[in-house]
Amino acid sequence: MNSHAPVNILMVDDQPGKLLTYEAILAPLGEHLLQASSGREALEHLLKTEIDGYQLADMIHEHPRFQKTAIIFISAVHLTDVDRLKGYERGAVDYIAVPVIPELLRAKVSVFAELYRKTLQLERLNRELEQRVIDRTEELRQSESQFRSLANSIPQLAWMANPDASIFWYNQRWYDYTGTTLDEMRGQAWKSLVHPDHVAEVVDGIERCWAVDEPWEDTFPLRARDGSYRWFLSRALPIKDANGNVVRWFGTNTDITERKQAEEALVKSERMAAMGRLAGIIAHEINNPLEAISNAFYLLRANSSLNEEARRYARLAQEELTRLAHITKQTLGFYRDSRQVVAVSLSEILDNVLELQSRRLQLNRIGVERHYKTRGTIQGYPLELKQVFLNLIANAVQAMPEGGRLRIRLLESSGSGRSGMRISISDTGVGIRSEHSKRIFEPFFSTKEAKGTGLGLWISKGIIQKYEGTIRFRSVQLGRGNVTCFSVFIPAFAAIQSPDATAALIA
Amino acid sequence: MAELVNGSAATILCVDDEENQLVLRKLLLENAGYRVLTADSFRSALAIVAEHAIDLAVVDYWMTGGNGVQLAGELKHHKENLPIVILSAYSELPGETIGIADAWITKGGASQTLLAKIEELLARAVVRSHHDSRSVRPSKSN
Repeated sequence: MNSHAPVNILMVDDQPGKLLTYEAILAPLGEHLLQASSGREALEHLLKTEIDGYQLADMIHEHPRFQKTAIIFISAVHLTDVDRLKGYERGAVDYIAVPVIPELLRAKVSVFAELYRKTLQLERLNRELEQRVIDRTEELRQSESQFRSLANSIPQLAWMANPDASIFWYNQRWYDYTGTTLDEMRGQAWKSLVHPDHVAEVVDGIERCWAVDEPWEDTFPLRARDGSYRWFLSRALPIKDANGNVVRWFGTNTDITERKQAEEALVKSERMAAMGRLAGIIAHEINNPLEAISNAFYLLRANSSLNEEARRYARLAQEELTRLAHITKQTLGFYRDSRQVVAVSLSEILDNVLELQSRRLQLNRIGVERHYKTRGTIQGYPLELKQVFLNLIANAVQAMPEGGRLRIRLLESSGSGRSGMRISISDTGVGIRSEHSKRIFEPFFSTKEAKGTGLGLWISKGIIQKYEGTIRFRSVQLGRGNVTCFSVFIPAFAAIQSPDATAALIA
Repeated sequence: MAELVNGSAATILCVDDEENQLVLRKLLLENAGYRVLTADSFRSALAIVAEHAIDLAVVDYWMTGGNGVQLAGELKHHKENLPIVILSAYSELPGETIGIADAWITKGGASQTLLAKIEELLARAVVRSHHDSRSVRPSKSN
């Protein structure tokens, strides 16, 4: 309602003459005048009963819409104080005695009309204000809930800290990962989750950033609920107000364990490829003179002008040269000069690997059973296939330090509709513990401690996958021993990717 | 043993760009009764086969001016049935080597390996010439 809109003024009197008089008195106010000659008529807007002025006042005020309607009684009768009180109780706001003094009536009505308008205005403002409070509260609630769902849906761990660096909030992922609660984590307690080797450096770095309100970034391992550690990239940003003062810090921790492992694996595999190339060059440089020396001693031995003793020396030297040649081949042999796929005989490769392992097989008193059901070939790179089976057979041999049986099967197979070769290598060694079974193909997972690189099976799997093949294993307890079997399937025709530099020294 | 059917000694061409190795290999083969011609380059090797009747060639894989496989190709072009042994100081040779050479041997092993392989290839060549002068090369044993 407009603040200058006319106010409705109802004039009630049973004498039409008086009503006319009131109208004449009040007309200059410019308000909207209504007339009623009786309470009943007055109530035609409201109700329909014959009533006196007091009852009318009661009824008017009973109606929610008219509760605040100002009522001025005009009374010809001399009003006692009791009457006045009765009127006030019913919500009358004023009395005017007859004879009515026009100025007085007009002034009073004018005041009440104005008061009514102001009241309405106030109520409207009040309502608007209330609505605004409701709206803002709702906006805040929505924004808060949006923030929470956002903070909980991001893959990062997230947190907020006061300007004094005490943390007051973490997202759900933080609690899920660390297995902690807010009460345990308030303030600076997060430090207890940073790996002990890193905590000093991390705290030093973050405190330096906090002191100068600069963004912070660091990578370090954080402890998970199971006590293991994973690597995180952690960042914190100062949130500033309009005056540039830090009001809070917002931080995230991103899990980069896999990225870090992949990077390390890449570095290692590059290093190993470089070693492979170097090994090839060294082998070449050794084998050339080795051949010349071998031939020289061969000729010496055959030289009839030398006496028996001199020929014996030549024979001894020749024997040692044979050993040297064997070692060179064994340690520096993994060099491939070929970029072309050739027909590879797996039985030859398996024999070759067994030959390489023959000394250890003998030392560990391991019996070997070969069941080759095929002499067929597959298309591939002989050296990397040799590497796969050397890894698998060397693992099997190492699993049987107290002796055992190594069984190697090779057969043609049609796994999942594809024809190819299946090779299985089983040992009666220490077995694979079930808690390790999910991790043995992961890079850097090794049960051989210092002796293993943790890369053998990972590389083998990578190579077999390149051939679109599969590599699986099973380890079961039989009596007091274990039988562990690795099974490799290589399709006869696979679109093999060109070999990455996996030529390497693997033990 | 080192003789052909007609009783004359077999002639072997040795190609290597390293002198000591070439000399020792020549001595080794001469000691075994062969007649040996040597070449230290591609060009001299091709010059020799143009002038002399060669029964077998022993070629080093890694030489300056081209590898043994390329030379083997040239030699076969010159004389289709010429048995060729490729030597390599690398532990394994590329697959294509096997396609063109009749045998390949990793250097550094026992001297007898080379001698035995030469003997085997020459014996095969003799059998083949008995059978049919136009016969195709025998297939490699697996």
